[in-house]
Amino acid sequence: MSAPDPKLLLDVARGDKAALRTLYERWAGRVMAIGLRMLGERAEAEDLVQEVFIEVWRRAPQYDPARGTVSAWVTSMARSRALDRLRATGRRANKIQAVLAQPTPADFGVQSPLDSSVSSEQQREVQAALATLPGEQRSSIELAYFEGLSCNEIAERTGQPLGTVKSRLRLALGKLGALLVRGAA
Amino acid sequence: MTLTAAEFAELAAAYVLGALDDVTRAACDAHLARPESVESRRLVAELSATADRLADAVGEVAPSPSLWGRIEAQLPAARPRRRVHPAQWALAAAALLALVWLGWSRRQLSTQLDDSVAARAALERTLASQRTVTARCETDLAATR
Repeated sequence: MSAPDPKLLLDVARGDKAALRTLYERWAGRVMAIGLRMLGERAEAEDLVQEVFIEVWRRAPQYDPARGTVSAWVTSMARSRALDRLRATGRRANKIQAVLAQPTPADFGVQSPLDSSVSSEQQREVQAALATLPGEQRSSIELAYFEGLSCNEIAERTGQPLGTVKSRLRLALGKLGALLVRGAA
Repeated sequence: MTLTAAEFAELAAAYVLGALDDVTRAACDAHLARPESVESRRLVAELSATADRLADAVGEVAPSPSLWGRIEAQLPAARPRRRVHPAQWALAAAALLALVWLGWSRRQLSTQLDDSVAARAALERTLASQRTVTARCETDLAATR
């Protein structure tokens, strides 16, 4: 059985490249999927993967297990760096209509041009939970999480009152939490 | 802006999704920092766990096989030199000063000890001399009697 993530990250902090390689093999697919989902282009998603794992190498000594799992840490890093790239190139606004036009939560899943997407139980579970949300709640969550829009920006772009946007996010995340807990039980 | 627990609960989802403006986020941070905001902190932990799961929705996509090689080539240069915290410098300086002081003190004490030994030897010599004089006097006194 291979080492758990926190042990690997500890080894990375000591300069162990093999440990980083193992973490890469474990989580690069997730980071790549986030990159494709948020940035839309395979080459840029690979640049994101590269940036994230070099950051993992540099910041491994700063990882604090008390603040979350390694997967959440890597995922959060991937999302933040992807948002930086979207903001740097001013592409967020161009993606909003595409997000709002998504008719089903199946579009949350990534269809790789190389057909290399790997479905997983977690993916199906989260997609199923998202499928139960009303469309406007799902869109609000996606605009906030994957596009990095603030409530004000979502309200402005969707023409909805600010309070409505906040309520939708609250309701959506609450329902998702309940569904995922129930699914895990 | 000061938030009540109920007001924070309305904003909690937007807070964990990073969708609040700076002013509102700062108000939420201040609310969460209060000792009595136990329930709000529990809510944030719960919603954060759910938000973390959102990334699961995208699944996994294999990067190209050559990508690891590109990353590995950048690793040595990417590792920063270990930075020494100012407190560590202060601790090292304090330890060095303590060592210097201990060395100086030891030398001082050693000098004082040498002086004391020399003084004692001089006193013993004086005492021996006095004893000789005393003995001579006692001999002269006995002869006189």
